[in-house]
Amino acid sequence: MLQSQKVMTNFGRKPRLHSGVDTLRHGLASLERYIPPPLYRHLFLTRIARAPLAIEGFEFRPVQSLFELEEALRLVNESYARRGISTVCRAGMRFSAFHLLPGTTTFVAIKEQQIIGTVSLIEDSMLGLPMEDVHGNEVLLQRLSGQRLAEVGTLAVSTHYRGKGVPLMLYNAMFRWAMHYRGIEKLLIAVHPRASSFYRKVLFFSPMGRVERYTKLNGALSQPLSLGLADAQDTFRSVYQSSSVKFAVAGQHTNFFDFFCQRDFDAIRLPADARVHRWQEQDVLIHMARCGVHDRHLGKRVKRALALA
Amino acid sequence: MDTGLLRAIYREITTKQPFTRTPEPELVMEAQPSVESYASSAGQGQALSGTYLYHAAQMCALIKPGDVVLDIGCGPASLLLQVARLNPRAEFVGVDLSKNMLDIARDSIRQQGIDNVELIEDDMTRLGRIGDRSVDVVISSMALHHLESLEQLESTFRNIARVLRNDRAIYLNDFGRLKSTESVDYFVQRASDGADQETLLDYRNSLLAAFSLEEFQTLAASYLGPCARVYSTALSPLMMVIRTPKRRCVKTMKPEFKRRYAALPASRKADVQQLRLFLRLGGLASAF
Repeated sequence: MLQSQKVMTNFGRKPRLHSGVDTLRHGLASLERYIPPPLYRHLFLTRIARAPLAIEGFEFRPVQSLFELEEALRLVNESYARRGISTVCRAGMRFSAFHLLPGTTTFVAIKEQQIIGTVSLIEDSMLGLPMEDVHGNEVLLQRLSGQRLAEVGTLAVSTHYRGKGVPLMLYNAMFRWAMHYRGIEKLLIAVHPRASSFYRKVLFFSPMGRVERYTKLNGALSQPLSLGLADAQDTFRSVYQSSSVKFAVAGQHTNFFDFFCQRDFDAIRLPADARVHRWQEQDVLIHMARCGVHDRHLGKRVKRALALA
Repeated sequence: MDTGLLRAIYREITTKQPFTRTPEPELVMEAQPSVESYASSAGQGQALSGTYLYHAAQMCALIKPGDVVLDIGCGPASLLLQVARLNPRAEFVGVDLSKNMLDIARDSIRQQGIDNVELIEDDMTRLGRIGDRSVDVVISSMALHHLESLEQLESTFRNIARVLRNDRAIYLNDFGRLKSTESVDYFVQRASDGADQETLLDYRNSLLAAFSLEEFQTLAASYLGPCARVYSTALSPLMMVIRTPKRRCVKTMKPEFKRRYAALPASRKADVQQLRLFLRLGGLASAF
């Protein structure tokens, strides 16, 4: 991303560090936009079908302790730094109040007691959603429509487990949690336009607004997408159930509708009830100390949301 | 267009000097009947709802997520709450000297379940409980004419400049002083449909107590910095706006404003349309 500055356009100009750096790369990624959705889905499914999915020996579940949450946040920081949208900080993780809220569920993929992937579901709260920093208007319009909103955020997968479908399994666990346990009606996500083809054509997200620059993430481009969960289930059924391309999960043929909405996987371990994990005040304080964040750095509303008074 | 308006416009153009100002009979709106009638004039479909929608949309273009917004003379906070709901990531502080007004405001905050508004009982000419450089945006709606004298207005402006951070944004709107009292009577009579006697009397007093366009221009130029511009309705300065340039794009919010506009009753729609037309002629583009 950072290397993709065009030489001629920046010729004679001062090097710009934060803005004007991130552009859509000219090449395969930008061509993806022009592939018709059915063909894109076909290509994606055949690619998935080629390698076995990450199931054996994996475990996908919400975090259960502060240790796991911090490992997940470290993974996020490391992955963001590699992508050039953040820097490695001293604590190895960035403090994020959203991840400590009772409405936030952080999912982790675990193999051999190592956390190798994570994604978070951040429900709408008094602090709003993280993407409101750049897409405030769009989120507000969704909120005024009266639906239960949640944002999908901080996806990161360890480099050693690339191409094994870890994000797919994490999304699978998260969709089930959002739909059946938490009663979420609309999922929002802010993605780089390069990745938006996948979300739009395979998962049927629809664009909510314009592409903006995410100031906090080193000026990276970001496009807001949304997905109504009830509609999504119907669309999945009509599109994927009749699809000819099948892929194998744990030795059995399946399609995307079956994968996301019907089949139960042993690897996905959701809690028995829909209760959210509420972090103890002690845990919050320990986490703040480890991140090097003091009370006085936090705003009044953040403190109230975290019940720090 | 009726002949009354033409006559009023003619008077406004030909008269040289504005009439002398009569301050409001009560500096602080503390008496129970006037507080209640004013608070009820801001509800859905009530006398001020159209005007409030117009100004709320304008204010949204100045407020960024994470800002601290100060409303000077918030009264029953009807406009403040409307703006606060539209900007959930910003923090709002409302300042008013009238305890009764703030009590009504607290009630509606509780009813609507809003958590980003804080109310402070304070004098707007001093702003003693607001720290220096602690505010990003200062807004105010139809409050400045409650001040007693020009010196008080000057000290209010000085304190606005004091509490604002460097990247300042200001949106103040108030009535402007007309040139003849006949015009005042004409505009009050125009607003008379659907409004009760208390509100009309308050409206008339407000128009008589308004500061003139020149006074606003001089004070804004000397205290609020080069970016703040004074706009007024064309032909007669019935409504005045002091505003700094936009800080945020509200294009995607337009459908929401239009939906709210469509929900207003016909007479309130006319308010918005007139305000939009005459302020646009005066140089201020509408936000929706």
